[in-house]
Amino acid sequence: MISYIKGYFGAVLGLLLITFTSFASESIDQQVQTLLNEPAAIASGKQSYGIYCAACHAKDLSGAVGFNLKDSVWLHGDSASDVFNNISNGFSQAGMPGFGAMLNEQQRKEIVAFIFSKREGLANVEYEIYQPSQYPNYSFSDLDRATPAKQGRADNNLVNFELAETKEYAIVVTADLYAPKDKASMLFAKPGPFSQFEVLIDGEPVKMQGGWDRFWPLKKGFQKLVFKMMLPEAPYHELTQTNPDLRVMTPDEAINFFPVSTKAESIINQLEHNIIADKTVLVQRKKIAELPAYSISVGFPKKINYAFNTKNCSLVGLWKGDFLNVGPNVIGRGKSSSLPIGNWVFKSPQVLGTNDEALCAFNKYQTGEQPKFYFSLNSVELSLTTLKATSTSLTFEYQVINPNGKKSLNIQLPALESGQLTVLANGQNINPKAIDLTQVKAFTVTVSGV
Amino acid sequence: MKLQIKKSLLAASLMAAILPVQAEQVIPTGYKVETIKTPQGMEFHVTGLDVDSKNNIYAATRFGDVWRYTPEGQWQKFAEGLHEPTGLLVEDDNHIVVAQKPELTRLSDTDKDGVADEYIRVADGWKFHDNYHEYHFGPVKDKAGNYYGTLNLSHGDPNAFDMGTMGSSGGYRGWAYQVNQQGEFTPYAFGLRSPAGIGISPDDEIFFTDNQGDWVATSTLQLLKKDKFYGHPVSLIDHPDYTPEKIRNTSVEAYDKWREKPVVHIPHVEIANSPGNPEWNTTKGQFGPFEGQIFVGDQTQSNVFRIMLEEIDGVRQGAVINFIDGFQSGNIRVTFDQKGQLWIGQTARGWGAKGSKPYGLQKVVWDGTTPFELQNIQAKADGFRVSFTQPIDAKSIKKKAISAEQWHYNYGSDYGSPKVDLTQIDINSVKQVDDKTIDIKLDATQGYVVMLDFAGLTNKKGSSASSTKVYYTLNKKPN
Ligand code: HEC
Repeated sequence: MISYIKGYFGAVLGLLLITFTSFASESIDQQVQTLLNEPAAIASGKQSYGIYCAACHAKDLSGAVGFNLKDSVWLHGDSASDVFNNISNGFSQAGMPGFGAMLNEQQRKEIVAFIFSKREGLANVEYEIYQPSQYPNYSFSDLDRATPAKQGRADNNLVNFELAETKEYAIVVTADLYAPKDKASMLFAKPGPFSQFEVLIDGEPVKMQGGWDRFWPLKKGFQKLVFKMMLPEAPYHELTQTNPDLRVMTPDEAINFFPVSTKAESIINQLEHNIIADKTVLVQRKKIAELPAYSISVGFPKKINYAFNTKNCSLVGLWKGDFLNVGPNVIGRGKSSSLPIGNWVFKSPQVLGTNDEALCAFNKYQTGEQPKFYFSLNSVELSLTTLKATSTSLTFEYQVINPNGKKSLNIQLPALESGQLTVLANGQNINPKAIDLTQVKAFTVTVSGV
Repeated sequence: MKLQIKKSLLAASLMAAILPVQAEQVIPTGYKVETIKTPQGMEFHVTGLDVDSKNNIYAATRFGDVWRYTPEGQWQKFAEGLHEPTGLLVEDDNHIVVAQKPELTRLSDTDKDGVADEYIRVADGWKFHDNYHEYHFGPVKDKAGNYYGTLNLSHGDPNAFDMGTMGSSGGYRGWAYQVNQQGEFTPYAFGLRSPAGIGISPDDEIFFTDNQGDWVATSTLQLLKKDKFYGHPVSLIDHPDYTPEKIRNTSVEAYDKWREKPVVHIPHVEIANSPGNPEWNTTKGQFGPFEGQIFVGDQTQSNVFRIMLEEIDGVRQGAVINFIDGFQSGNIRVTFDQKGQLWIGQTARGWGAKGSKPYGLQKVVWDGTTPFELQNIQAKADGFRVSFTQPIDAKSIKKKAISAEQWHYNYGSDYGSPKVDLTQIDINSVKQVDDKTIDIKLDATQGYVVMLDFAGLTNKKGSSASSTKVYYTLNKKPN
């Protein structure tokens, strides 16, 4: 597949190069900036991305064969014009075709806008480092009059506190910060005791919170960050961190969005403990990113997985891929969530079952090759298991153990990111909203084509 | 387990607590610590521990597995995929009940192949909000068949109600609960903070430990009683008579009057920072001369200490003394097996421990040699009666052999309390009662913790005890 694409696209590559170097790069940067404010353009970019790029870069841009496109690491340049040119020309050596011939200019710009709309992380990171002699009062106002002992631009969009090289220093970092657009986040630091901080977002000081760990609420989306840190006077406490962990997380510390310092990057990279259901079906009860508490995850060797929740007695997530990275939930204090590996087919608040917890009474589950959950929904006693798992489908079977006098059952279906749903009883399609319990003793729900 | 650090200024004292000057290991003669090899490649943080009738040891790990260790020394995995269990009870040889964060769960081996195949909900009547600190400790089971557990407050949950440090997003955080044989969940008592250990006495009374921190001056041993308040106001958001405003506006004095006073204060650093479950020694002498006493491990100090209880005019109180220190990791769970050996489950993940290993399993074995140690201490109107496990050398029985001091603690929202009104107490006299017992006359104050150091007392061979400092919580002075 890849070599075929390479051959096909290799021929037109030379032509594309000539065409695209003639573009004025500022104008592309500006045009993409304009598109970023046009929801229709971003939607159209999203659609093209889904068709042409998602296979290699993952639907959520988190990367697979191709690189992660939403973090702050850009090997081939992170300006809109760089990305535009990279899409146009591709990397035939590495297996990415050029799209200059297949997609018109507008489509490619829309894709760049879509990618930038998902962007998380830092850009344009600049730092100034000061020595203690320059701030005799150990006050940030001393820095206004001082010339930095060292200054520059970070080449990898991360703050590297080790650049200071001395034990005692003050640092002022300015950067573009892309926080998640749809979730609240905070800048989070583990500096140890006695260091001083000042944080400005879009020029406004932000109040520091926390005691031992420090944090500052962020805005959603793009913002300008100024981060100042001044280490205490030496000799200082041994727990004071000269190279602190600085990152962006959800306010409940459940999800690490991205590292801000090189130290945080190495810590986050170590937070990996993958549980792969490669040999047998696995059942894991952990805190899972983006799923509600009380979820129980089931992973199949066919690289398809689902989660059952004991509070709504329903399926609250289904994803394709290896099972779970439980590292963030089992390393250190385990404050953060386990991460499903792969792509969502659906996730909470989409459910197979109900979101009404009052209807649910969970009883137990059995392990094995077909894990089975026992519960009541609206007093109807049920069991739920999987009849069949393939790499693109899962067939669930509900058995009615005891209707307890109820004549019908309503099972809400989830909206899927991909694929379709079939609900069958006795070989017939049935309406899941009104399952006739006088007739139906068992029914299946198949999620296929995912 | 508990939050150790709140304010940066506490850090210095904290480090002193975790990294003390290397001292000789405290261990009574006749006892030794053995290390059990845990399954290869597993992060074996043991936070649940019990034994069945055939002397299989069951260990629940923080990772979420339950393992069986056979008397032949083999490890077999019994269950997996649990959510950070921090307690385990063997009900019978096919049923294990575990306290995992979201649920009290019975693990059942229905096909008798040695591996659990059913995970049955026993209770989940509280709320779990996916906060890392929402630990669930227990269970113990009383003679009527009721289960009891304790529910930790949360920490760092942005949605929680808090008063500075520990918080609750509701759903009985900071409560103890009861579940009866019919599975009915009853919120049982409140005001708990980080109640990392629950235990049941041979008399069917339930006790729990709580970890030092906000509203807990120093770690405690408490007697669990229905509908009682144990001092941490945050849990009151689930109390029908309270609102957040009322909780904040109620005076410390009012809370102080209302709360149950600890049966035993466990002095911070000297004995423990993060005590685990209290375990009664009912080994009928298999574990040496400390029959009927309570053994508790400490996660931070990597030690095991002893507690002796008594009741004066209906008031519970008692004393605590170090037993063995220098364990390899943080001791959070202890249990006696059928041979009277004391097993210790260990973890140091996320919270430092004196012992350098991140996790593990050890046991304490007695070889039959009686050491010279404090046997018991009882309050008297004019001092204390102290007995020893061996005859005392009469020549060492003199005032100079013993020193004493006393203090009390502040109750309030501060993270822990210093020793308040710390004073030396004069030893008025020391008198031999029999060959192993002495009466120490001194003037101690009711409501204080009294520390007696009998470093000068020796046995007939001239040896002093391995632990010479005993701390008595004098809730009630006998008349
Ligand atoms: C056949 C797989 C494949 C497809 C399809 C694909 N890419 Fe790539 N992409 C890659 C690989 C592999 C790389 C890494 C190149 C390298 O190793 O330098 C890459 C790199 C990139 C980069 C550079 C990232 C950086 O760090 O600088 C961008 C931007 C990019 N791809 C965007 C896209 C877009 C947009 C699409 C869809 C229009 C797309 N890719 C389609 C495989 C693919």
